[in-house]
Amino acid sequence: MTYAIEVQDAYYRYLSSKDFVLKGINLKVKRGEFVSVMGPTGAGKSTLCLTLNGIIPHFLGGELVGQVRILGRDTRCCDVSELAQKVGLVFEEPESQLFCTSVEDEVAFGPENLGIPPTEIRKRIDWALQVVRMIEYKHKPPFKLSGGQKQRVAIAAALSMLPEILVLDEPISGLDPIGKMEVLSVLGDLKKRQEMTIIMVEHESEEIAKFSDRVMVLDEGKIISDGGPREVLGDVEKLKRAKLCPPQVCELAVTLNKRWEKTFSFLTLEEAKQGLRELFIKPIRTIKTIKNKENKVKAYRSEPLFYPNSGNHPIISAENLCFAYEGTDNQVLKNISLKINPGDFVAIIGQNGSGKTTLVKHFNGILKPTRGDVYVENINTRERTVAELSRTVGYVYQNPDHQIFCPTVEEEVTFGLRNLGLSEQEIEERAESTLRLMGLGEIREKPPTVLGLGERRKVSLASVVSMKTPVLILDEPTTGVDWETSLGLMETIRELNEKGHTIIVITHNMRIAAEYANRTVVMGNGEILLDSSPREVFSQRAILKKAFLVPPQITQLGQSLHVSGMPVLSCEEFYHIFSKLDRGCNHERHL
Amino acid sequence: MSAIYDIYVDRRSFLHGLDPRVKLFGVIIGMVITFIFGSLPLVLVYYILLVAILLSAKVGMGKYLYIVKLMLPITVLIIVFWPIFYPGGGAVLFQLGPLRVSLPSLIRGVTLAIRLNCLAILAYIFLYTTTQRQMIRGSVKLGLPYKYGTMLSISVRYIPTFGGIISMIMEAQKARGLELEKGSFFQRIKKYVTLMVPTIITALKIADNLAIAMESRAFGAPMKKTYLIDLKVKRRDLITLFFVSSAFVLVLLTKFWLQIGI
Repeated sequence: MTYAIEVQDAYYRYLSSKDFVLKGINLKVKRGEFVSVMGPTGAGKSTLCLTLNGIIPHFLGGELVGQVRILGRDTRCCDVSELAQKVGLVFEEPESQLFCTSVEDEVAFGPENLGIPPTEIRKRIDWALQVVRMIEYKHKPPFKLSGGQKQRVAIAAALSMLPEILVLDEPISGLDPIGKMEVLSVLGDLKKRQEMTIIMVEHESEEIAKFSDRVMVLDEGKIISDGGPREVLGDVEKLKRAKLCPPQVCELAVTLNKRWEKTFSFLTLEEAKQGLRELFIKPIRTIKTIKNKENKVKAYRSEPLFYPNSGNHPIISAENLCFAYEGTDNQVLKNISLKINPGDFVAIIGQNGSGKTTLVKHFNGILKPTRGDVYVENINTRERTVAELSRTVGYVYQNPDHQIFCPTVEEEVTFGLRNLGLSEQEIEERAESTLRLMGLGEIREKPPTVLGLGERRKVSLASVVSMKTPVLILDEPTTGVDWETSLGLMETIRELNEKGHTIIVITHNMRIAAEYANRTVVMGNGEILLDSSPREVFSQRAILKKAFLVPPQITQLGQSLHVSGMPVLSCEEFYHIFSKLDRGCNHERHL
Repeated sequence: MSAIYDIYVDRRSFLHGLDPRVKLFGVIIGMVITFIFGSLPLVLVYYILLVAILLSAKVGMGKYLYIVKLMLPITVLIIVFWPIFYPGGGAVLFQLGPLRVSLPSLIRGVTLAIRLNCLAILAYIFLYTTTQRQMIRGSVKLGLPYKYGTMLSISVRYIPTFGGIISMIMEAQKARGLELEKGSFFQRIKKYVTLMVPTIITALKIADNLAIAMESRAFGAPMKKTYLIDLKVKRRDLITLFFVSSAFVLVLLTKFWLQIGI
């Protein structure tokens, strides 16, 4: 039997690099397998993808040692256009892989290049667009579509060349929850109905657990784990060592087994529900009772009771804020009233297009309300320039490359300080303390552009933090970086919050909203749907469902096990409940 | 956000239905005619005619105003500077120190400014009504190698994208306290570096990834390329061709044979 993909002792280094990026990859993939590849940033995942369709070595050059065989043929012996009909490639960024001006043209691009007759191309377009459920968008320009739709068009554009293998490089990491669901269900169909061989590079282990036949972990150019999802994802320690985030239920199983000598093995939420159901027959009202005892709450993390919109001295307040972009009638924000109090750690969650970014851009004056008012430190933003507001409100943009321009990290950090017109001595002191706080001291002389994404994020965060603004806004600070780096970033942000900064974070990561913020704002369709503590917000399942948001896995597990009262937000909290349960003292004490 | 930055306007109109080659021919002739016309009234009439043609494509008034806004700085510059650098003779309208602004030189300045506006409108008539596919197809049929045709139309496709990126970068730097409007000329130039570097880096990254994405979809395959939609010359194309050619001949005749100053 020929394998779909067979890689033997593959080493590769780019033209410009001294070291090998792939260091001895051995891999055999059977036809029809769904393989997920995980790995920290810089592990060589994208490089591996590019070797599978001959872009490496044919297009990018460099040095490839060993053998890569696709459906039995050595990639060295066939050119990229031939391989394109065997291996379809889909990338993360829509901006660079959708370059045509209509969906139809996008899908036709490949077959046209291959010299397929027009009647046949038409058939393929209709088929491919049907498979990805985008047929009704055939004549739309791709850049007007949502993230999930764009990614599905990119898949169709690969499918129209009738490949047997589909390789996807982080296809969902830039998407909102709806987009992720759309793309993953299309991939599920492709596997089931078209018997497609799928290789997907992805971070989100909980999704991987649902779809994959096989999971591989790549670290520093080597495959360090390879096996069934239960085996690989269940090895929580190993995943964590590779800076990856195991599914919460796997983590739960491991800890329960270790602390209470159980023999659980959970891969998905469903399994965890099944496995734990019998232990939770009686409804438990845990969190509520714990909550009454102040000190026990402190044991998880500080969680002051607070009442949003009630503070007397808000640092930012929006009053009946309405906004539509110039020349359009489309109301992006509808009558929003919100008070941000000093010291808040606010997470704003919601789908793309729900108005999250538009809302926070009002806080630093980049946008001014169409109707209503926004006050920062009690001054209407209409009366102040962005530069003036930048002394109060720091804004870290989603893409660090949009801010970075200096030759060294240190200069990048001092740029904002110079704009503030501080004295040389003050600038030096602040730069010093910021570099120390952010752990950038060692790379202060390096050019920021050559750093990895996680470090570039840190630099752009540092360049805003150094300005010591009372408020910090962060737009999706953890997108595209591995879990450990994300946690590092969030810990730094938490420290800043403890030092008194007011933090506003836009995120698609529910665990970050649950575990870090002390206030969660849910937005949908230009309105605020919920605004409360994360616990309260994640207990409102109906409203969350309406906003297409899914609580963290552990929270869902708690809810399905009839833990009434307030929901569980982290694994730690779940162990706490479990420990009480296990001592057999649940019902008397908690009911 | 990027949805705002779209050049092609999707409508059904006479101009939209034209063969891109015919449209390109018309636009080029139109540009040549712009340079033949010399008198202010005629240039004005011509300008109005072009605006009418543009609006006949149902693109909407906003799209016309967009061109006006785009051309405004250069229009003002020419009207102001022309009389200064080319004083010419004739009646002096007013004098500012050593500068004398005469009526003929002012008229010439205005004429030139309107001519440039005519050129811009002609270019946008083409860009607003021609899809990327038609552009590639047209240029290839006219003998341009497919690779260059694709390159050309993809660059047009990315102009709005880069527009969006630049405005995002501007926001990001403003949020760090950058004030582009303040300072001396040289200070301001220096401030623009803060926009240039991130723009270039982002553009290079996109270009790299774009090349890989295109290659992955068999761009440059050795087989002979096919086209989903082929261009067919229709009656409206022939009529337009005839009309544009005769208008051109007419203009040439009046100018060079009859020697009438137009």
